Order: sequence, then C-alpha cells, then structure tokens
Amino acid sequence: MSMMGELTFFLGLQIKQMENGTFISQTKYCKEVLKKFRMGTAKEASTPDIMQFVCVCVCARFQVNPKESHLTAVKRILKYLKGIAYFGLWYPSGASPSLIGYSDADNGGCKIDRKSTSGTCHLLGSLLVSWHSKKQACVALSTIEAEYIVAGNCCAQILWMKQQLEDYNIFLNHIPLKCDNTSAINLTKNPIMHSRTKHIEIRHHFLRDHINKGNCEIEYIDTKHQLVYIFTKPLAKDRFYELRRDLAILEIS
Amino acid sequence: MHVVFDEIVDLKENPLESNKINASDEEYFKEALDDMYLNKNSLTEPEDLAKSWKSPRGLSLENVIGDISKGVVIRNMSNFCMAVAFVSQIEPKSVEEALQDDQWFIAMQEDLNQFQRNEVWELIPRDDSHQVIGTKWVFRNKLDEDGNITKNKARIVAKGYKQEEGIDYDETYAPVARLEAICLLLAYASLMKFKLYQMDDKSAFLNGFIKENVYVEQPPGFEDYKFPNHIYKLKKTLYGLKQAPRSWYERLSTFLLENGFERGKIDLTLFIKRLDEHILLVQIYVDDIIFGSTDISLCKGFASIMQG
Repeated sequence: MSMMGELTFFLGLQIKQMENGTFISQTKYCKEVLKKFRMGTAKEASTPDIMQFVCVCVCARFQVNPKESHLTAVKRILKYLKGIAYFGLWYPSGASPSLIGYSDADNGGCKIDRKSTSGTCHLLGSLLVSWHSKKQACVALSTIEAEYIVAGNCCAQILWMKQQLEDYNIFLNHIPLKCDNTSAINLTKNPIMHSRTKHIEIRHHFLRDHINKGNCEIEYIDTKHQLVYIFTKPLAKDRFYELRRDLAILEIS
Repeated sequence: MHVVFDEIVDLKENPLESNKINASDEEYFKEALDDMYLNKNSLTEPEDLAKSWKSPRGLSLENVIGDISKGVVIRNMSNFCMAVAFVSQIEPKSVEEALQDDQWFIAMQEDLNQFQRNEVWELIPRDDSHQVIGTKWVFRNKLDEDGNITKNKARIVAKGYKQEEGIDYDETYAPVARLEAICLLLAYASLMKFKLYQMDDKSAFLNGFIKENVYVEQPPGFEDYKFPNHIYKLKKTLYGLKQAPRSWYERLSTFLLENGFERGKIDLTLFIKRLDEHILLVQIYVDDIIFGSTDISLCKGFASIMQG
C-alpha cells in the first residue's frame, strides 16, 4: 500500500483542495470525450440546445432509433461541453452544515408517453452534493401528483443523506424540502381525497409519513428562488446562467 | 491484516538510486554529445567529408542552410531519453511481441515480483481431477493528462469466465461507494476545512484470501523451466477471478474493524474512527482509499498503519 498524497484525481473527478475551498471538475474526461468524437476543433456553444440539464437524458431515449435531428442535438451538447470543459463544482469552506432539498416537476414533459420529468437537488450548506433529473416511472394526472411524486423522491434522498451525515457527527432534523406547488404541500398535511388525488398510490404517501415524523419539513418556495428549474425546464439564457451560478457551477479562474 | 507493504521500502530507496542513475546518464549523454561535436567540428573542411556528403550535382556547401557541423538533429536528446528510452511506446498484442521488448519484459517481471512478495501461489504437479483456469497477460500503457505514455503496465489475469459457480467461487458481491457519498464526503471536508488524502495499492486484489481451491496455468512466457507442466494452486485471489473484489473488501474491512474503526450505518464502504472531538473518515472504492481527519495526526497514524 502506498501513500499518494493529497486527493487530486479520483474516479475521473479532478479535485483541487485549496485554502478557501475545494474545486471539482472533469476537464480531463471532457477532453477525452471530445477527442473520441473528433469534436476537439468544433466551435463552442454557449448553451445546450434546450437550455436545461436533461438534454443528454432526452437524447438517450432515442438510442434505439436515432435520426439525423438527434445527431445535431448531440453535437450541440458536445459543443456546449467544449465551452464548459473548465467548469466545475466549487465547494467553499466554512459554511454551516445545513441540508436543503429542492424538488420540482414539469407535468407531462415527455411528448411521447406524457410522463413527467422530476428534478431534485440537495445543498449541504451552499454546496451542491446530489442532484437528479429523471423521467418519472408513472403518468401523473395533475401537476399536484407530479410534484407530489418528486417530493417523495426528494424525501427519500434526504433520508439517505441524513443517515450518512449522522456518521459524520452531524445530526439534523426537520430538513427543509422546498417545493413550489402549494397544493402538493397541502396534500402532505391533510390527506384530501377528492377526485384528482384519490388514486395516488400508497408508496407516494411515504412523504406524508416522514413529514409527520419530523424527518423533513416541506416548505413553499417561489419560482424566483427555485434552483431546480435547471433540471426540469427549458430556460432563457440569462436565467440558465443565473441558476448555474447559484448552484456554484463555476469556471476556475 | 498482513498486507505486504514493501513498496515503502522502494519509496525510501528508489529516489536516491534513480537520481544516481539519472545523473550518471546525463553525464554519459553529455560526453556522447561532446564527442559528436568534436568529431563534427573536425569535419568542417569539405575535403574531409565522406563521399556521400558531397553533393552529386555539384552544389556548393555554402548553399546549405544551417550549421552543417551539427549534423542531423532529429529531436532534443534529453527529451528523447525521458520519453523513449525508458518507456515503450507500443501496446503489444501478444506475449511473444511483449517478450521481444525490453521495457515490457521488465514490466512483466515487476508484476511477477508482486506475486512473490504476496505469496500468491504455489507450484504443484498437474492432476486430472483439477479444473485448471487459464491465465493471460494484459498490457496497458498508462497515460498522463496530456496523453503521454508514462508507464508500461503488464498484469497477469485469470480467465474468470471459465470458473464454475459452487466449485471455483461462491459469493461475488462487494459493496461499492456511491458517487453521491463521495461528493458528500468532499463537501463535508471542505465545510470542516480539512484535507483529504489518497492511497492506493498497485495490486490490491493480490491481497485477498481465497477460500476455494482454484488452480491456474503458469503464465505464458514465464513457465518454470524445471516443471513446465505443473500448475499453480492459488492462496490469494488473482485479477480476473470472480471472487477477487469480494475477498479484497473482506480483507480490508476486517483489518479496519480490528484497528478500531466502525462501519458506516448504511454506507458499507465508509469507515469511521472517533477520538474525543476528532473524527477520521476512510472511504474505500474498490482499490482506492480516500481518507481525511479533523486532526492531522490521526491521518498520519492511519497512513502508517496502512503501510505496515
């Protein structure tokens, strides 16, 4: 067993540990990808085609039967990658260790099977530690249902992180879960069973249970401060940049 | 755990030795270059040039661009030594090809030396009742960030696909850390303002004990000259065997648990040691280990117990 010194490269992540924080980037991997697809000399694109982070996921759904339009979309993504090769996550040091979860869904985002896309992200202090953006497994009849399902997923992730943080001697309770749909929030408080919500499956009511136990706490957030839009919705360029900056995805200077 | 950490010895001794070698090599090349210059300088007179140097079309030497006394410079001599002389630039396709190349031969020998140190196997006579698994050499060039070849790595692997469940292996699952868990650890480290360190083992899997009786062929190209028909019985796991990751994880985790670590509640690849206010975190990802502590002396202690 040999000592390799400070952590600098791990699982394709390039890690720079500095006095005032840590910077994590994937420049090397990014360059390898560009080289592999001979896009090294391509022009840089300022944004991915549809300005959200799910574009890779959307393209991947057409792997079985790709058409030329998908090729252009993928090339656009690679061009965007070229532009952001030096970007990475910035973890500033010294923030207080508090956990916040954000959740959002777009109702019926997929044009083919009308399933919704769910997006969540979790910030420890102000550091982005976990995120996901995924098509939901079931069709939601209403926005409430779609939002409710994501909030459930987000809650599950929060519970995992809560336990993980207990190993690090950080004990948290009533972890805030930010959701921008008041109806979904109300549904966690009272199990109103009217025609639009009565069919929601039991497993999605898992969220209610954990809110009652006090593991997490659902809170309203207005759309201006909702960070997770970047994972679910197509955005205007300025808003895209703003959210990207708020998530501390920066270029190393 | 009795991991043989001989590499430390290497670390202590090698820098000096390699420095010496480099120094003497540099001197050697300098002398060689000086010789070249001297010889070339003596050849400046056109009459002294070899026949082939004289232009057949009667062009005068004054038309030659550049200093003729320097001869043909192909590339910088010192770079040449660094990049080409000590590392092979090709990846051989077969053992025969690799055996021809000095650098690859050294790399293969290095891998077999690890086997000696870890007491991986013993030579026994062949018996028809044994199911014997073939072995194979794998050759890989290690690249640095700019894509330059820095190391030739040869590794002997077992053809694990020939293993049969229940005879050659039983359980194969080994827990792996989630990427999010690693992100969380990085975030925690920067919040608490401590540094993370990294450790690795050149041949981690050769440390795992094997419970089953597994027999492998002798490595191609390196057969024992006295008993070329013998086979090896494994005492430790080999790369390519199905149970290799699991037995390595077991060995490492029991070692850590014996040394006062506790396993994470849900993350089985996280090991924690608490001392008063301070905490030492060890995250393992198969053969990579990252660790950090709020108290730097705990880190040093850990590094020294891991190194034997």
